[in-house]
Amino acid sequence: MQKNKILKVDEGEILDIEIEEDLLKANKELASVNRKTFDLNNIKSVNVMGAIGSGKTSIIQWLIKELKNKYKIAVIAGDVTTGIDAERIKEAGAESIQINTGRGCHLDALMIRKAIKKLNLKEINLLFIENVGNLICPADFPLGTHLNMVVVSVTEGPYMIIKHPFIIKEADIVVINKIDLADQMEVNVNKLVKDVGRINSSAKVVTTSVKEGIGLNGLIEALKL
Amino acid sequence: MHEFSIANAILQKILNVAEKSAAEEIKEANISIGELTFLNKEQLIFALKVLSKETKAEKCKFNICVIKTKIKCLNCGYKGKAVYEGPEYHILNFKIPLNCPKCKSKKIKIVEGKEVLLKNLKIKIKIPK
Repeated sequence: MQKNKILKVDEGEILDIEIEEDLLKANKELASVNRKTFDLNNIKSVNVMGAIGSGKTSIIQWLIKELKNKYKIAVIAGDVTTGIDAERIKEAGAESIQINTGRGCHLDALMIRKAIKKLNLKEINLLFIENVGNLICPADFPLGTHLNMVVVSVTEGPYMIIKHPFIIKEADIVVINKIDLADQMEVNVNKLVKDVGRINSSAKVVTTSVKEGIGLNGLIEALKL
Repeated sequence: MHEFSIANAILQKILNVAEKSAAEEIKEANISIGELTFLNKEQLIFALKVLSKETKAEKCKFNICVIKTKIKCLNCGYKGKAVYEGPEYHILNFKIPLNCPKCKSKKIKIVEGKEVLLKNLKIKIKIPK
């Protein structure tokens, strides 16, 4: 403000103002605050991303049923308008918090910040955050979780991985689900596994079928749980 | 796909600065977006125009330029322009750096190309009488 006075601008004069501010940075910074909160409370956190119907909720339910005696689990479930997923999580036996994004296509670090305030952090040590069903937008908004897990299913077709390289690049774990349907869908699961390797060689790939109970141990191992 | 929420953040920032600088009108805003963000330039401009109606930025010209991707190789230390792989990725409408152009390692870190920068503004000043 001082500067403007010294400049003695005439009325109607056009001034240049330098700003140089990254608007996604606020989210990144908040994500690291979230991470600190998780670390301080010894909570392991996983951001679960994937398309609608890929099996995100089913996989989380599956993990809860298997791990609920070993860990104190909570789930933050993101959804556009419904509370269906949060109910499914409760049935599986974990505490859940629903975030309805309304028109929003992703969760961001601020929504997570608000949601974790509702959790009793001393009472949990494993947190799954189920992102909104979408493979595009969540890639721009890190939440601060320790692990990023992307779930795809063979019913989404043979090009799911190569069409979404950005989110695959961000993933620590890629789950290829519904492999029991691979033959009917004429999708080659090995090709999908190779596609992940080409984009992100450090991601762990797990093939699963929740319906048939295949791959649960591999997934628990990949999550280091 | 999330142009409106980003446009809203940009506009709030612009109006904030305008308020502090006693601007009468915002003439021009220069914005840079990383090519690895999921933002479409035309949609972002459209969103900014819709949201800025009846604000001091209503007549603002929004200029958007794209920031090219820069990577750092965690294996050999190369820092610079990214090179994209394979015809498969060129058919698709977006590109992603997959390996280091020098040592071919896939252990790379993206250092530029994921930001949404509000660079500067041109404002018309109001002098209190």
